[in-house]
Amino acid sequence: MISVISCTSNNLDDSKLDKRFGRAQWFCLHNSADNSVQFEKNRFLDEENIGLLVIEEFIKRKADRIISGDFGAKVQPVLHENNVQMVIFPPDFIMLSELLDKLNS
Amino acid sequence: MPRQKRLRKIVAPPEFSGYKPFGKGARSSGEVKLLYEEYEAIKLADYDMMYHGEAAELMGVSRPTFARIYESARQKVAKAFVESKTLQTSYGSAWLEKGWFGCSVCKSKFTLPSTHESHICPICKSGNIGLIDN
Repeated sequence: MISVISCTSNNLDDSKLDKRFGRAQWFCLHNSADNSVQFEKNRFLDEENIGLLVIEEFIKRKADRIISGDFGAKVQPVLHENNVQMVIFPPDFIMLSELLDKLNS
Repeated sequence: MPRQKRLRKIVAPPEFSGYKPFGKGARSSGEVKLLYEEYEAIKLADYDMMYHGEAAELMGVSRPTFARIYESARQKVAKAFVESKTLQTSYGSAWLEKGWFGCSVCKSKFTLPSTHESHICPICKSGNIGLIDN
């Protein structure tokens, strides 16, 4: 299962979870098959309708789950239609590494 | 190990959390848990007057499975009436197409798309999840 997590940097040690999905600087892609992670820079930051562009990109790449702090009204129906799970991470979680430890357990 | 239960689709959770008997013969003698899918079975068969086949298709289960859910629901309601027990709704193995669920352990919130078989928290893997009221 491929999870996309919005985060603040591409450094596993100090990256924090980013509560914004569309405007996050980076995305961490976690593959539960082998617990591998890869980082991707958000290349849509200067565009309009960022959230929709980002999710369309990850839907094309067969993401199963998006983990972030919030999901806007425009992106929710698209994710529902494409059977992509939306997850709002726990309020106590701050660091990306905390979340990845839970996903890997 | 028993086969994992397929999630049963429900249109909406019950509007109530439970029912309590009142009056002369009423007493606190325990509770009966009515699952969301059992409530849905009673609603479809007895309120909407659907045939079992139609109701089963709506819930995404086979007709025999629907019949078992419906029978369980009626037995529980009968038990609550006869033994003056409180009827309490409980999440069970239901999923709501566009509903949000919450985990009582890690407090994350999430949706359960129809293609996702698992009905546990995606973060901490707990089974203590419930539908969040809109």
